[in-house]
Amino acid sequence: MSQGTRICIVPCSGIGKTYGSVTREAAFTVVEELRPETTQIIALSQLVLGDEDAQAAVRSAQVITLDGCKLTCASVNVRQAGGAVAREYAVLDFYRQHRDLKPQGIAELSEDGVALARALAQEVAEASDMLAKGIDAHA
Amino acid sequence: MFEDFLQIMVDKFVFRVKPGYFYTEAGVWVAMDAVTGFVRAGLTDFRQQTSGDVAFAELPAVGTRLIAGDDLANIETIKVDLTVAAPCDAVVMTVNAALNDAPELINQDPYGAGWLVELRPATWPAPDLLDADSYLAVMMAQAEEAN
Amino acid sequence: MPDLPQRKVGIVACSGEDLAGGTVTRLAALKVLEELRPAQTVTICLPLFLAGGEGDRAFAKFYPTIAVDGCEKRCAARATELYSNKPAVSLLVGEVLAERGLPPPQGVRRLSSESRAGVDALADEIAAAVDRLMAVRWSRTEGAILAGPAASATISTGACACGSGIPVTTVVLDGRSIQIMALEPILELACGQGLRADDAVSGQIMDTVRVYNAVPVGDEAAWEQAVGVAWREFCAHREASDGA
Repeated sequence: MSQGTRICIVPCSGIGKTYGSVTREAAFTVVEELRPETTQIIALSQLVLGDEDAQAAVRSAQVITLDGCKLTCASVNVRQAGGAVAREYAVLDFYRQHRDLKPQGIAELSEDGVALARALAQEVAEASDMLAKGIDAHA
Repeated sequence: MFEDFLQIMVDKFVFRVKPGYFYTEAGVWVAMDAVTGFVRAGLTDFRQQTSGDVAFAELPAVGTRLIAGDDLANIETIKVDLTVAAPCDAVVMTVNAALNDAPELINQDPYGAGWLVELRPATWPAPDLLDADSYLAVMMAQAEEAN
Repeated sequence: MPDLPQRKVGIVACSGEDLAGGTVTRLAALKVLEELRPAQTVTICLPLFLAGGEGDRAFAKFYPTIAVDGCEKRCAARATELYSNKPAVSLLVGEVLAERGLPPPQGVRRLSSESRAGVDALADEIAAAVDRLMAVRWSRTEGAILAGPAASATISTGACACGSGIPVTTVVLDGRSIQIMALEPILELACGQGLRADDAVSGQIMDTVRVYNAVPVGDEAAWEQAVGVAWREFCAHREASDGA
Protein backbone atom coordinates (compact mmCIF):
# COMPACT_ATOMS: atom_id res chain seq x y z
CA MET A 1 0.00 0.00 0.00
CA SER A 2 1.43 3.37 -0.93
CA GLN A 3 2.31 5.82 1.81
CA GLY A 4 -0.46 8.13 0.68
CA THR A 5 -3.22 5.60 1.25
CA ARG A 6 -1.98 4.11 4.47
CA ILE A 7 -4.28 4.58 7.41
CA CYS A 8 -2.99 7.34 9.66
CA ILE A 9 -2.53 6.64 13.34
CA VAL A 10 -2.29 9.83 15.38
CA PRO A 11 -1.32 9.36 19.04
CA CYS A 12 -1.57 12.29 21.39
CA SER A 13 1.76 11.39 23.05
CA GLY A 14 0.73 13.55 25.96
CA ILE A 15 3.69 14.20 28.18
CA GLY A 16 1.79 14.93 31.38
CA LYS A 17 0.34 11.54 32.17
CA THR A 18 0.99 7.87 31.68
CA TYR A 19 -1.97 7.58 29.34
CA GLY A 20 -0.16 9.75 26.81
CA SER A 21 2.70 7.28 26.80
CA VAL A 22 0.19 4.46 26.30
CA THR A 23 -1.03 6.14 23.11
CA ARG A 24 2.52 6.49 21.88
CA GLU A 25 3.41 2.88 22.61
CA ALA A 26 0.18 1.60 21.09
CA ALA A 27 0.77 3.60 17.91
CA PHE A 28 4.30 2.27 17.54
CA THR A 29 3.05 -1.28 18.11
CA VAL A 30 0.48 -0.94 15.35
CA VAL A 31 2.77 0.70 12.82
CA GLU A 32 5.97 -1.25 13.51
CA GLU A 33 4.66 -4.69 14.42
CA LEU A 34 1.01 -5.36 13.69
CA ARG A 35 0.25 -3.47 10.48
CA PRO A 36 3.50 -2.07 9.07
CA GLU A 37 2.28 -2.28 5.48
CA THR A 38 -1.04 -0.55 5.90
CA THR A 39 -0.58 2.09 8.59
CA GLN A 40 1.59 5.10 9.32
CA ILE A 41 2.07 7.42 12.28
CA ILE A 42 1.44 11.09 11.79
CA ALA A 43 3.23 13.18 14.41
CA LEU A 44 0.71 15.38 16.17
CA SER A 45 3.34 18.07 16.70
CA GLN A 46 3.55 18.50 12.93
CA LEU A 47 -0.19 18.84 12.64
CA VAL A 48 -0.13 21.50 15.34
CA LEU A 49 2.47 23.42 13.38
CA GLY A 50 0.45 23.08 10.19
CA ASP A 51 3.03 21.01 8.35
CA GLU A 52 1.72 20.59 4.82
CA ASP A 53 2.71 16.96 4.43
CA ALA A 54 1.07 16.02 7.74
CA GLN A 55 -2.08 17.93 6.86
CA ALA A 56 -2.22 16.36 3.42
CA ALA A 57 -1.88 12.91 4.96
CA VAL A 58 -4.82 13.28 7.36
CA ARG A 59 -6.96 14.88 4.69
CA SER A 60 -6.42 12.15 2.13
CA ALA A 61 -6.32 9.00 4.24
CA GLN A 62 -8.46 7.52 6.97
CA VAL A 63 -7.43 8.52 10.46
CA ILE A 64 -7.49 6.74 13.79
CA THR A 65 -6.73 8.89 16.82
CA LEU A 66 -5.51 7.77 20.22
CA ASP A 67 -6.07 10.20 23.07
CA GLY A 68 -4.83 10.01 26.64
CA CYS A 69 -7.32 12.30 28.31
CA LYS A 70 -10.65 14.03 27.84
CA LEU A 71 -9.06 16.99 26.07
CA THR A 72 -8.74 14.74 22.99
CA CYS A 73 -5.92 16.73 21.46
CA ALA A 74 -5.31 14.23 18.67
CA SER A 75 -8.92 14.22 17.48
CA VAL A 76 -9.27 17.98 17.79
CA ASN A 77 -6.07 18.69 15.91
CA VAL A 78 -6.87 16.24 13.12
CA ARG A 79 -10.20 17.96 12.58
CA GLN A 80 -8.56 21.37 12.76
CA ALA A 81 -6.21 20.24 10.02
CA GLY A 82 -9.15 19.34 7.81
CA GLY A 83 -9.05 15.61 8.38
CA ALA A 84 -11.91 13.34 9.38
CA VAL A 85 -11.49 10.99 12.32
CA ALA A 86 -12.69 7.55 11.30
CA ARG A 87 -12.18 6.03 14.71
CA GLU A 88 -11.11 7.60 17.97
CA TYR A 89 -9.87 5.83 21.07
CA ALA A 90 -9.73 7.21 24.60
CA VAL A 91 -7.18 5.33 26.64
CA LEU A 92 -9.11 5.95 29.83
CA ASP A 93 -12.21 4.26 28.43
CA PHE A 94 -10.08 1.38 27.20
CA TYR A 95 -8.41 1.06 30.59
CA ARG A 96 -11.82 0.83 32.25
CA GLN A 97 -12.37 -2.33 30.24
CA HIS A 98 -8.95 -3.70 31.22
CA ARG A 99 -8.71 -2.80 34.84
CA ASP A 100 -6.06 -5.39 35.53
CA LEU A 101 -3.59 -3.50 33.30
CA LYS A 102 -2.97 -0.33 35.26
CA PRO A 103 -0.44 1.85 33.41
CA GLN A 104 2.23 3.73 35.32
CA GLY A 105 5.21 5.81 34.35
CA ILE A 106 5.57 8.39 31.62
CA ALA A 107 9.18 8.19 30.43
CA GLU A 108 9.06 4.44 30.80
CA LEU A 109 5.78 2.58 30.85
CA SER A 110 5.23 -0.11 33.44
CA GLU A 111 4.84 -3.71 32.35
CA ASP A 112 1.07 -3.42 32.70
CA GLY A 113 1.17 -0.16 30.78
CA VAL A 114 2.96 -1.85 27.89
CA ALA A 115 0.43 -4.67 28.03
CA LEU A 116 -2.44 -2.19 27.97
CA ALA A 117 -0.85 -0.46 24.99
CA ARG A 118 -0.51 -3.79 23.21
CA ALA A 119 -4.16 -4.63 23.86
CA LEU A 120 -5.16 -1.24 22.52
CA ALA A 121 -2.87 -1.69 19.54
CA GLN A 122 -4.54 -5.00 18.72
CA GLU A 123 -7.94 -3.36 18.70
CA VAL A 124 -6.65 -0.46 16.61
CA ALA A 125 -5.09 -2.89 14.15
CA GLU A 126 -8.37 -4.71 13.73
CA ALA A 127 -10.18 -1.44 13.27
CA SER A 128 -7.68 -0.44 10.61
CA ASP A 129 -8.39 -3.70 8.77
CA MET A 130 -12.05 -2.84 8.69
CA LEU A 131 -11.39 0.65 7.51
CA ALA A 132 -9.14 -0.64 4.79
CA LYS A 133 -11.97 -2.89 3.60
CA GLY A 134 -14.36 0.02 3.66
CA ILE A 135 -16.31 -1.35 6.59
CA ASP A 136 -17.55 1.09 9.21
CA ALA A 137 -15.13 0.54 12.07
CA HIS A 138 -17.75 1.63 14.60
CA ALA A 139 -19.87 -1.43 13.85
CA MET B 1 -24.52 23.88 35.90
CA PHE B 2 -22.31 26.18 37.91
CA GLU B 3 -24.68 29.03 38.60
CA ASP B 4 -24.60 30.66 42.05
CA PHE B 5 -21.30 29.15 43.12
CA LEU B 6 -18.58 30.72 45.17
CA GLN B 7 -15.41 30.53 43.14
CA ILE B 8 -11.75 31.44 43.00
CA MET B 9 -9.30 31.49 40.15
CA VAL B 10 -5.75 30.27 40.60
CA ASP B 11 -3.48 30.31 37.57
CA LYS B 12 -5.76 29.16 34.74
CA PHE B 13 -8.08 27.10 36.97
CA VAL B 14 -11.45 28.05 38.41
CA PHE B 15 -12.52 26.22 41.55
CA ARG B 16 -16.14 26.31 42.69
CA VAL B 17 -17.80 25.82 46.05
CA LYS B 18 -21.52 25.28 46.40
CA PRO B 19 -23.16 27.51 49.02
CA GLY B 20 -25.36 25.78 51.55
CA TYR B 21 -23.28 22.61 51.63
CA PHE B 22 -20.82 21.64 54.34
CA TYR B 23 -17.25 20.58 53.78
CA THR B 24 -14.22 18.83 55.19
CA GLU B 25 -10.76 20.25 54.73
CA ALA B 26 -9.93 17.20 52.64
CA GLY B 27 -12.40 18.27 49.97
CA VAL B 28 -15.52 16.26 50.70
CA TRP B 29 -18.90 18.02 50.56
CA VAL B 30 -21.94 17.03 52.59
CA ALA B 31 -25.54 18.12 52.03
CA MET B 32 -28.53 17.28 54.21
CA ASP B 33 -31.81 16.18 52.69
CA ALA B 34 -34.33 17.40 55.27
CA VAL B 35 -37.01 15.02 53.99
CA THR B 36 -35.05 11.79 54.34
CA GLY B 37 -32.70 12.91 57.08
CA PHE B 38 -29.84 11.52 55.07
CA VAL B 39 -26.84 13.43 53.82
CA ARG B 40 -25.29 13.11 50.41
CA ALA B 41 -21.52 13.29 50.11
CA GLY B 42 -19.15 13.76 47.22
CA LEU B 43 -15.88 15.30 46.13
CA THR B 44 -15.53 19.04 45.82
CA ASP B 45 -14.74 20.68 42.50
CA PHE B 46 -11.25 21.48 43.77
CA ARG B 47 -10.59 17.90 44.79
CA GLN B 48 -11.80 16.44 41.50
CA GLN B 49 -9.89 18.93 39.38
CA THR B 50 -6.64 18.42 41.23
CA SER B 51 -7.05 14.65 41.23
CA GLY B 52 -7.70 14.30 37.51
CA ASP B 53 -10.02 12.25 35.34
CA VAL B 54 -11.65 9.46 37.32
CA ALA B 55 -11.05 5.96 36.03
CA PHE B 56 -12.79 4.00 38.77
CA ALA B 57 -14.74 4.72 41.95
CA GLU B 58 -14.94 2.04 44.62
CA LEU B 59 -17.80 2.72 46.98
CA PRO B 60 -18.61 1.07 50.30
CA ALA B 61 -21.30 -1.52 50.81
CA VAL B 62 -24.72 -0.32 51.92
CA GLY B 63 -24.99 -0.73 55.69
CA THR B 64 -21.32 -0.01 56.36
CA ARG B 65 -20.84 1.80 59.66
CA LEU B 66 -18.27 4.55 59.59
CA ILE B 67 -16.46 6.77 62.04
CA ALA B 68 -15.41 10.21 60.79
CA GLY B 69 -12.09 9.79 59.01
CA ASP B 70 -12.62 6.13 58.08
CA ASP B 71 -12.06 5.15 54.46
CA LEU B 72 -15.30 5.96 52.67
CA ALA B 73 -14.34 5.43 49.04
CA ASN B 74 -11.33 4.71 46.87
CA ILE B 75 -11.10 6.66 43.67
CA GLU B 76 -8.55 5.92 40.99
CA THR B 77 -7.82 8.77 38.63
CA ILE B 78 -5.36 9.14 35.80
CA LYS B 79 -3.08 10.92 38.26
CA VAL B 80 -3.56 9.41 41.69
CA ASP B 81 -5.25 6.75 43.78
CA LEU B 82 -7.07 8.68 46.41
CA THR B 83 -8.89 7.57 49.50
CA VAL B 84 -11.90 9.62 50.48
CA ALA B 85 -12.40 9.93 54.20
CA ALA B 86 -15.83 9.74 55.79
CA PRO B 87 -16.96 13.28 56.73
CA CYS B 88 -18.80 12.21 59.88
CA ASP B 89 -19.92 9.24 61.95
CA ALA B 90 -22.60 7.60 59.81
CA VAL B 91 -24.09 4.53 58.18
CA VAL B 92 -24.01 4.11 54.41
CA MET B 93 -27.58 4.08 53.10
CA THR B 94 -27.14 4.37 49.33
CA VAL B 95 -24.29 4.43 46.84
CA ASN B 96 -24.34 6.13 43.46
CA ALA B 97 -24.65 3.18 41.08
CA ALA B 98 -24.29 5.46 38.06
CA LEU B 99 -20.59 5.73 38.84
CA ASN B 100 -20.08 2.09 37.85
CA ASP B 101 -20.57 2.90 34.19
CA ALA B 102 -19.88 6.61 34.28
CA PRO B 103 -17.27 7.48 36.89
CA GLU B 104 -16.56 10.62 34.90
CA LEU B 105 -19.67 12.12 36.51
CA ILE B 106 -17.45 12.92 39.47
CA ASN B 107 -15.46 15.22 37.20
CA GLN B 108 -18.36 16.51 35.14
CA ASP B 109 -20.83 17.31 37.93
CA PRO B 110 -19.10 16.94 41.30
CA TYR B 111 -21.87 18.64 43.31
CA GLY B 112 -24.74 16.99 41.45
CA ALA B 113 -24.80 13.75 39.48
CA GLY B 114 -21.30 12.88 40.65
CA TRP B 115 -22.32 12.31 44.29
CA LEU B 116 -20.74 9.29 45.95
CA VAL B 117 -22.92 8.06 48.81
CA GLU B 118 -25.90 8.83 50.98
CA LEU B 119 -25.29 8.54 54.71
CA ARG B 120 -27.37 8.47 57.86
CA PRO B 121 -25.30 10.65 60.19
CA ALA B 122 -25.03 9.77 63.85
CA THR B 123 -25.58 13.41 64.72
CA TRP B 124 -26.48 16.49 62.74
CA PRO B 125 -25.06 18.99 62.42
CA ALA B 126 -21.97 16.82 62.40
CA PRO B 127 -18.97 18.26 64.21
CA ASP B 128 -15.93 19.80 62.53
CA LEU B 129 -17.57 20.51 59.18
CA LEU B 130 -16.90 23.83 57.45
CA ASP B 131 -19.47 26.08 55.85
CA ALA B 132 -18.96 27.17 52.24
CA ASP B 133 -17.16 30.42 53.06
CA SER B 134 -14.79 28.71 55.45
CA TYR B 135 -14.05 25.95 52.98
CA LEU B 136 -13.43 28.54 50.26
CA ALA B 137 -10.65 30.02 52.38
CA VAL B 138 -9.16 26.62 53.10
CA MET B 139 -9.34 25.68 49.44
CA MET B 140 -7.68 28.92 48.39
CA ALA B 141 -4.75 28.23 50.67
CA GLN B 142 -4.44 24.67 49.39
CA ALA B 143 -4.61 25.83 45.77
CA GLU B 144 -1.91 28.45 46.22
CA GLU B 145 0.32 26.00 48.03
CA ALA B 146 -0.06 23.47 45.25
CA ASN B 147 0.74 26.12 42.67
CA MET C 1 -7.47 37.87 45.47
CA PRO C 2 -4.89 35.08 45.63
CA ASP C 3 -1.18 35.88 45.52
CA LEU C 4 0.62 35.39 42.22
CA PRO C 5 1.79 31.81 41.73
CA GLN C 6 5.45 31.13 42.33
CA ARG C 7 7.76 31.60 39.37
CA LYS C 8 8.43 28.62 37.16
CA VAL C 9 9.93 27.92 33.76
CA GLY C 10 7.88 26.19 31.09
CA ILE C 11 9.15 23.35 28.94
CA VAL C 12 7.51 22.33 25.66
CA ALA C 13 8.90 19.22 23.97
CA CYS C 14 7.97 18.16 20.46
CA SER C 15 7.71 14.44 21.38
CA GLY C 16 7.69 13.78 17.64
CA GLU C 17 7.24 10.15 16.66
CA ASP C 18 9.02 10.45 13.29
CA LEU C 19 12.60 10.46 14.45
CA ALA C 20 14.68 9.40 17.41
CA GLY C 21 15.20 13.09 18.15
CA GLY C 22 11.56 13.38 19.14
CA THR C 23 11.96 10.60 21.67
CA VAL C 24 15.09 12.29 23.02
CA THR C 25 13.18 15.55 23.57
CA ARG C 26 10.45 13.74 25.44
CA LEU C 27 12.79 11.83 27.72
CA ALA C 28 15.05 14.80 28.37
CA ALA C 29 12.12 17.06 29.19
CA LEU C 30 10.70 14.46 31.57
CA LYS C 31 14.06 14.07 33.27
CA VAL C 32 14.16 17.78 33.99
CA LEU C 33 10.52 17.92 35.08
CA GLU C 34 10.74 14.90 37.34
CA GLU C 35 14.33 14.79 38.59
CA LEU C 36 16.53 17.77 37.87
CA ARG C 37 14.26 20.78 38.41
CA PRO C 38 10.87 19.49 39.60
CA ALA C 39 10.03 22.56 41.69
CA GLN C 40 11.04 25.09 39.04
CA THR C 41 9.45 23.68 35.92
CA VAL C 42 6.08 23.02 34.37
CA THR C 43 5.07 21.59 31.04
CA ILE C 44 2.14 21.55 28.67
CA CYS C 45 1.28 19.19 25.85
CA LEU C 46 2.08 21.04 22.63
CA PRO C 47 -1.25 20.11 20.97
CA LEU C 48 -3.13 21.89 23.74
CA PHE C 49 -2.24 25.18 22.12
CA LEU C 50 -4.89 24.28 19.56
CA ALA C 51 -7.08 21.87 21.49
CA GLY C 52 -7.13 23.85 24.72
CA GLY C 53 -8.42 27.24 25.76
CA GLU C 54 -7.03 30.73 26.18
CA GLY C 55 -5.44 29.73 29.45
CA ASP C 56 -3.43 27.05 27.67
CA ARG C 57 -2.41 29.45 24.92
CA ALA C 58 -1.16 31.88 27.52
CA PHE C 59 1.38 29.30 28.71
CA ALA C 60 4.50 30.71 27.05
CA LYS C 61 3.52 34.24 27.96
CA PHE C 62 2.93 33.32 31.56
CA TYR C 63 6.07 31.23 31.91
CA PRO C 64 9.42 31.87 30.24
CA THR C 65 9.42 28.79 28.04
CA ILE C 66 12.08 26.45 26.71
CA ALA C 67 11.09 24.76 23.44
CA VAL C 68 12.86 21.47 22.77
CA ASP C 69 12.80 20.06 19.25
CA GLY C 70 13.96 16.82 17.71
CA CYS C 71 14.51 18.04 14.16
CA GLU C 72 14.89 21.12 12.02
CA LYS C 73 11.15 21.49 11.59
CA ARG C 74 11.21 22.89 15.15
CA CYS C 75 7.54 22.15 15.66
CA ALA C 76 7.68 22.96 19.38
CA ALA C 77 9.44 26.30 18.97
CA ARG C 78 7.45 27.45 15.97
CA ALA C 79 4.05 26.30 17.18
CA THR C 80 4.67 27.81 20.60
CA GLU C 81 5.49 31.13 18.96
CA LEU C 82 2.54 30.84 16.60
CA TYR C 83 -0.12 30.13 19.19
CA SER C 84 1.28 31.25 22.50
CA ASN C 85 4.44 33.36 22.68
CA LYS C 86 7.99 33.28 21.39
CA PRO C 87 9.93 30.78 23.50
CA ALA C 88 12.58 32.33 25.66
CA VAL C 89 14.93 29.51 24.66
CA SER C 90 14.83 27.12 21.71
CA LEU C 91 16.92 23.94 21.82
CA LEU C 92 17.50 21.50 18.97
CA VAL C 93 18.64 17.97 19.76
CA GLY C 94 21.06 17.80 16.85
CA GLU C 95 22.78 21.02 17.83
CA VAL C 96 23.11 20.11 21.49
CA LEU C 97 24.55 16.69 20.71
CA ALA C 98 26.97 18.08 18.14
CA GLU C 99 28.26 20.66 20.61
CA ARG C 100 29.10 17.87 23.01
CA GLY C 101 30.55 15.54 20.42
CA LEU C 102 27.78 13.00 20.84
CA PRO C 103 26.44 10.93 17.94
CA PRO C 104 22.91 11.33 16.58
CA PRO C 105 20.36 9.32 18.55
CA GLN C 106 19.16 5.93 17.34
CA GLY C 107 15.84 4.21 17.92
CA VAL C 108 12.51 5.99 17.75
CA ARG C 109 10.37 3.77 19.92
CA ARG C 110 13.21 2.60 22.19
CA LEU C 111 16.38 4.60 22.23
CA SER C 112 19.58 2.65 21.92
CA SER C 113 21.65 2.48 25.09
CA GLU C 114 24.26 4.64 23.40
CA SER C 115 21.66 7.30 22.82
CA ARG C 116 20.92 7.64 26.50
CA ALA C 117 23.93 9.90 26.86
CA GLY C 118 22.21 12.25 24.46
CA VAL C 119 19.14 12.36 26.70
CA ASP C 120 21.29 13.24 29.69
CA ALA C 121 23.16 15.90 27.74
CA LEU C 122 19.96 17.52 26.54
CA ALA C 123 18.46 17.34 30.02
CA ASP C 124 21.52 19.10 31.43
CA GLU C 125 21.22 21.78 28.77
CA ILE C 126 17.54 22.28 29.58
CA ALA C 127 18.29 22.45 33.31
CA ALA C 128 20.97 25.08 32.71
CA ALA C 129 18.50 27.10 30.68
CA VAL C 130 15.99 26.78 33.52
CA ASP C 131 18.54 28.19 35.94
CA ARG C 132 19.27 31.14 33.64
CA LEU C 133 15.59 31.90 33.18
CA MET C 134 14.90 31.68 36.92
CA ALA C 135 17.50 34.42 37.38
CA VAL C 136 15.79 36.93 35.09
CA ARG C 137 12.72 39.08 35.57
CA TRP C 138 9.83 37.92 33.41
CA SER C 139 6.83 40.02 32.47
CA ARG C 140 3.69 37.90 32.32
CA THR C 141 1.81 40.65 30.57
CA GLU C 142 4.46 41.19 27.91
CA GLY C 143 5.72 37.62 27.79
CA ALA C 144 9.30 38.87 27.72
CA ILE C 145 12.39 39.21 29.83
CA LEU C 146 12.63 42.51 31.69
CA ALA C 147 15.88 44.36 32.22
CA GLY C 148 17.38 44.11 35.68
CA PRO C 149 17.91 41.26 38.06
CA ALA C 150 15.18 38.87 39.01
CA ALA C 151 16.59 38.24 42.39
CA SER C 152 14.42 39.46 45.18
CA ALA C 153 16.28 42.03 47.17
CA THR C 154 15.78 43.61 50.55
CA ILE C 155 17.40 46.87 51.42
CA SER C 156 17.87 48.33 54.87
CA THR C 157 20.00 51.12 56.24
CA GLY C 158 21.39 51.51 59.70
CA ALA C 159 24.28 53.18 61.43
CA CYS C 160 27.71 51.67 61.04
CA ALA C 161 28.61 49.45 63.97
CA CYS C 162 31.87 51.37 64.45
CA GLY C 163 29.92 54.22 66.03
CA SER C 164 30.91 56.79 63.41
CA GLY C 165 27.31 57.44 62.50
CA ILE C 166 28.00 56.73 58.82
CA PRO C 167 24.94 54.97 57.43
CA VAL C 168 25.45 51.47 56.13
CA THR C 169 23.00 50.02 53.66
CA THR C 170 22.57 46.27 53.59
CA VAL C 171 21.35 44.84 50.31
CA VAL C 172 20.28 41.22 50.54
CA LEU C 173 20.38 39.68 47.09
CA ASP C 174 19.64 36.03 46.53
CA GLY C 175 20.18 35.38 50.18
CA ARG C 176 23.57 37.14 50.26
CA SER C 177 24.12 40.32 52.28
CA ILE C 178 26.25 43.10 50.87
CA GLN C 179 26.93 46.03 53.19
CA ILE C 180 27.68 49.31 51.48
CA MET C 181 28.84 52.31 53.46
CA ALA C 182 27.30 55.70 52.77
CA LEU C 183 25.12 54.40 49.97
CA GLU C 184 22.05 56.27 51.06
CA PRO C 185 23.64 59.74 51.06
CA ILE C 186 25.28 58.89 47.71
CA LEU C 187 21.86 58.03 46.26
CA GLU C 188 20.38 61.13 47.84
CA LEU C 189 23.08 63.22 46.18
CA ALA C 190 22.47 61.62 42.78
CA CYS C 191 18.76 62.12 43.11
CA GLY C 192 19.27 65.72 44.16
CA GLN C 193 21.25 66.29 40.97
CA GLY C 194 18.20 65.22 38.97
CA LEU C 195 19.58 61.84 38.00
CA ARG C 196 17.14 58.99 37.70
CA ALA C 197 17.32 55.21 37.44
CA ASP C 198 19.10 53.80 34.46
CA ASP C 199 22.17 51.62 33.97
CA ALA C 200 24.45 54.50 33.00
CA VAL C 201 23.68 56.36 36.20
CA SER C 202 24.18 53.19 38.21
CA GLY C 203 27.70 53.09 36.82
CA GLN C 204 28.40 56.65 38.00
CA ILE C 205 27.01 55.84 41.42
CA MET C 206 29.20 52.77 41.60
CA ASP C 207 32.24 54.96 40.97
CA THR C 208 31.30 57.06 44.00
CA VAL C 209 30.61 53.95 46.06
CA ARG C 210 34.17 52.80 45.40
CA VAL C 211 35.46 56.00 47.00
CA TYR C 212 33.92 55.01 50.32
CA ASN C 213 34.07 51.23 50.11
CA ALA C 214 36.76 48.67 49.43
CA VAL C 215 34.99 46.44 46.94
CA PRO C 216 36.46 42.96 47.30
CA VAL C 217 38.38 41.76 44.28
CA GLY C 218 36.22 39.49 42.18
CA ASP C 219 33.06 40.77 43.77
CA GLU C 220 32.56 43.80 41.55
CA ALA C 221 29.66 42.27 39.63
CA ALA C 222 27.70 41.46 42.78
CA TRP C 223 28.30 44.95 44.17
CA GLU C 224 27.26 46.58 40.92
CA GLN C 225 24.11 44.53 40.93
CA ALA C 226 23.39 45.47 44.54
CA VAL C 227 23.98 49.16 43.83
CA GLY C 228 21.77 48.97 40.77
CA VAL C 229 18.95 47.38 42.74
CA ALA C 230 19.25 49.89 45.56
CA TRP C 231 19.33 52.84 43.14
CA ARG C 232 16.20 51.69 41.28
CA GLU C 233 14.44 51.07 44.57
CA PHE C 234 15.47 54.52 45.85
CA CYS C 235 14.19 56.25 42.72
CA ALA C 236 10.95 54.34 42.73
CA HIS C 237 10.38 55.22 46.38
CA ARG C 238 11.23 58.85 45.75
CA GLU C 239 8.89 59.06 42.77
CA ALA C 240 6.11 57.46 44.75
CA SER C 241 6.50 59.85 47.66
CA ASP C 242 6.87 62.90 45.39
CA GLY C 243 3.93 61.80 43.28
CA ALA C 244 6.21 62.15 40.25
